[in-house]
Amino acid sequence: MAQDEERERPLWEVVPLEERELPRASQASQARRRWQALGRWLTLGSEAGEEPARDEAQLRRLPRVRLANLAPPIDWQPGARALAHYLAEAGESAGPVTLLVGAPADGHAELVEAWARLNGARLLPEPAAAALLAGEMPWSPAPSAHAWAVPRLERGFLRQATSLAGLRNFLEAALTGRLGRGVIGCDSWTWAYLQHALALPESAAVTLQAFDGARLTRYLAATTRAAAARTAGEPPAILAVGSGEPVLADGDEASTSRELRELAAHCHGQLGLAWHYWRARLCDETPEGEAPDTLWLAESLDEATLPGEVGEESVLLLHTLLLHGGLDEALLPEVLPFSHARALSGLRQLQRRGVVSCDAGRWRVAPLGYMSVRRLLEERTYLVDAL
Amino acid sequence: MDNADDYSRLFNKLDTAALVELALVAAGAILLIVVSQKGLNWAANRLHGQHHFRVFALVPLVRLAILIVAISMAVPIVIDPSLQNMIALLGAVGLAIGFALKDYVSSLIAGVVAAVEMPYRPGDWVEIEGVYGEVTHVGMRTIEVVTPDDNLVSIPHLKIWNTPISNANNGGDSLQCVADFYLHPDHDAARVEEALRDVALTSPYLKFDRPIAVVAKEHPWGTQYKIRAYPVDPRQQFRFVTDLTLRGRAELGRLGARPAQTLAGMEGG
Repeated sequence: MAQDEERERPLWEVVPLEERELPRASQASQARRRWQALGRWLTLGSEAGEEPARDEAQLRRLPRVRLANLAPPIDWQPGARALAHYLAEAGESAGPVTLLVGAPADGHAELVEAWARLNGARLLPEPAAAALLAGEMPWSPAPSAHAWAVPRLERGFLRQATSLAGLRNFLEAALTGRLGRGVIGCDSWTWAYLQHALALPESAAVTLQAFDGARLTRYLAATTRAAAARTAGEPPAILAVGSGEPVLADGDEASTSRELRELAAHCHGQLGLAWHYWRARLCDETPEGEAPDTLWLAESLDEATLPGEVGEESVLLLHTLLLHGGLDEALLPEVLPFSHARALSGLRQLQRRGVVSCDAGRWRVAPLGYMSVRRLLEERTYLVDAL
Repeated sequence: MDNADDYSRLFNKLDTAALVELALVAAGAILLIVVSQKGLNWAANRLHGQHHFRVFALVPLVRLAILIVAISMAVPIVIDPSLQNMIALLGAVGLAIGFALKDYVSSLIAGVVAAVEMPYRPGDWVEIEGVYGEVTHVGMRTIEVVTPDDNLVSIPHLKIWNTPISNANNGGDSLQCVADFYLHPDHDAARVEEALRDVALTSPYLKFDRPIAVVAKEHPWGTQYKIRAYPVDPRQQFRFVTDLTLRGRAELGRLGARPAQTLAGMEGG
């Protein structure tokens, strides 16, 4: 019965922000994580306890080509359809503007873009940095019969007084309906910040329902089957390195493998983040060129680790990157109380540890460093997101 | 108790075994105090937020507990702790203290009271008789305060008897900071108030779960504004105020608000 009910629940579901259910880790896995954290704390962040298990040493991580087939980038279209379904159900009660809030690696921008394509909505381009610094409204769509979509609200402001005023003007106009109907994608950290700074109404915010262990299993099993179908072969068995049991056991949350339950809980139910961990943990033991029937899921999370004692400037850098959903190098001095050179030096140190990454001059917290950074900011009592 | 023989009967005979026992109690107490103080300070410095202050607050309490246990173990070795003996001993000790060591002992007793009442704890930012700084150590007789100029000031505990102790964060991690701005009367007060609030909201040091207030006060020379807000960590207070001040000035300049020219007669707000 429970399995049937589980299967009846849609895989992709958009819900009001306050109705998102965080997957819970079992007490044993929480205790194990705390023990590892204590070890890191006592050893000032050294790599103690992070040695791979003996059997993992015999395995090798999957090559990129095989990963591209077996765990391709997430297709957010079903999420976009779930958003369209939610908006259709909500009707006028959704208000003129709906904000889709998502954690940094959880695809809110891709989902809003997909929604715009599905519904023929206008995609509003990102504003120029000069306009943000001048305090201009980042977007000012003319009201029309067609809805508009902003995939990344976080690109529409900088944390400085002038720019904040520009964003306030935009959101006031949007939320009162003066700009017509629209959907805004918003990073969960930006949302947390703007809720404090601009007192945004929570009722306007929706999010993807969290992917608990069962949902994650269904998603990963489907992508593995689809990958096998593309090569006209059988899907490989994926076994846990620790137990040797299959990790993609279909069923309800209780019958889900411990590995995927823990992964879902560790990632706070964020599919985009879990996907990064999944790719990083898949291993095989076959020489290159042969497609093995059995793959292994490594026990270790392979996360980027922070140093034992993180200085204040690094903390401010990481917090700033998260609040802005990543930042262009040139804009760092506009939002940080220290020089460009010091900011870059700090970022490069964090980059060497894999905590941040830089893509075409834009810095962001790396997906496999995100949970460590979030824990650090929470411990230091900085503002953190709700997801 | 009117002669030397009577007083000598107060004390037990201190043979070698008693002396060894006393030495062991003293050495054990000293060792425990040193280890606990270093351990707690180490742990507190590795923690952040409320945990940092809670562990710091344990430092004087643990030392006091160890001292009480050590004294209660040592006294029966030295004297027979009957009521009569204790009255006689305390009377004699009190007389000596009253004449020679009044302030010293007063500070020690105040140290015990301070450990219990906690008007200051390590990690607190206090002002005592014009000295402002962070309490880095609460000793038995004095506290050590490090000022923003990095001077170490030792202040005896006896100040708590009759001196106001101003504690800015009181064992917690919320410490209000104030940034002042002085403007020429000719300005748009509503825009200035909003801009200063935004300056606080956009500071990287801001603690979001505490309120922000922008306060205005009229003076003959113009208007004084204050931003009252809290940094994430009390140790960021000077960097926070600097950040508010510099960005506040820039923002006010952008709005065309001129600074007040005459500060004569300026009052504190």
